[in-house]
Amino acid sequence: MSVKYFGQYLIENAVITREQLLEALKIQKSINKKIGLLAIDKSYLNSQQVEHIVSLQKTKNAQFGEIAIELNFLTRDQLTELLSIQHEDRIMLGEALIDIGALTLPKLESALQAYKSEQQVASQDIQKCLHGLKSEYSDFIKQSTQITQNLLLRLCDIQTKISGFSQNPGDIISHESYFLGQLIKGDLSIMVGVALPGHALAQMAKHMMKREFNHVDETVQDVGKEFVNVIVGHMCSYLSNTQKQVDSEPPFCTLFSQYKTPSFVSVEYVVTLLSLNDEIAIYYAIA
Amino acid sequence: MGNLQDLKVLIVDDSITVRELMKQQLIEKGISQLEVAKNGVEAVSQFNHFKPHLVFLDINMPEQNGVEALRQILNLDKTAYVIMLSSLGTKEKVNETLTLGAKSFLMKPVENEHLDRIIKEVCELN
Repeated sequence: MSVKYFGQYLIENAVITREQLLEALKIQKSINKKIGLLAIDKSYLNSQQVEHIVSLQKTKNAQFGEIAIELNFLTRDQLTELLSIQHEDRIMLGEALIDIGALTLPKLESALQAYKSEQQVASQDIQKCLHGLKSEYSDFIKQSTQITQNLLLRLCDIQTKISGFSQNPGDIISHESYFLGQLIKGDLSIMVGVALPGHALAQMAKHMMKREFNHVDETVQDVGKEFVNVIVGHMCSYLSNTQKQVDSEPPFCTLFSQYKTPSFVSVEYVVTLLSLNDEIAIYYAIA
Repeated sequence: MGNLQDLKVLIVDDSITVRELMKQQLIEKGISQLEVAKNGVEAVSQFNHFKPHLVFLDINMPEQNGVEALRQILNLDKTAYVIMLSSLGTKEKVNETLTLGAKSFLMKPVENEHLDRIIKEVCELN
């Protein structure tokens, strides 16, 4: 059982079609205004301030409103007012699906109930897996996973949520997936990797390089290597701030079937991330 | 320097991704005189011929790394405006390159606002 978006749950259980979901998401996007836009409408912020907050948001992993208050761009009262306007005017996915005739209200209610009970079980499973980790490594994995999610959003516009956790990479990662890896060495030895299907890697390259890639060529592989290099760079900075002396080897890109676990490794962990289209795995191998 | 079109920038990184992304960022800002190099040896040679106002130089590269290239570039022109790039932002690396004479140190991927600040500084100097 894994964590998933409500829309995906509805498709997988044949409650709605993919086309209906996309139509409903489009309606949602056109109606639901972000706090930044509402703040511009009310003349509380100008567009430069909004852009500045959005750029900080991608690296700080904090809410838009909290950053705006921290920078003294908004008062707490103004934020409360904006949140209340946002809440009153917004349309939920279920409502949009009813609007386009994809669902009836009774059907939506029963699907929501089934979805919530399934998600509760899935989230308990993940907590159980994280609980077994040593704190030094669990902190690293939590931090690195968060950074990876932030970078996927910031550099590739891929929004993800954690969908699972495993100690058996072979069961989770397809052998045809591309594996982007880089070794951190020094006081801690950790192999950090990101595994994803070739078309997702090509998509990542398309988004970053702003041009089309039809297959995984040398440039696409280089984008992948650079992506893991940035994650590892951030993690080395993080470790360096906790007084750990670390360095890294050059990143590599290979098919997962050709990846050989380094000899120092005693445990492997995989965190799976769910995006709208694909499953992306973050891999950790620890001494 | 009032016109960004007069500004010459050299980007040095072994990753084509970084070279292309930085090129795109700089072109969007109106800078058109751009050259790239993929290792330290090429960087020193390009610096000598192209005579850029600004150099973005990666630290970890094959053949000759950025630290050695920085030394050689500063030997050629001790006023060279070199910004070091790295994805590995440890304090040791930052201090080493700044001590050698690099003007600043940026983590990859480079944020637009950092680029704007540096370009402004270089334009004011020239």
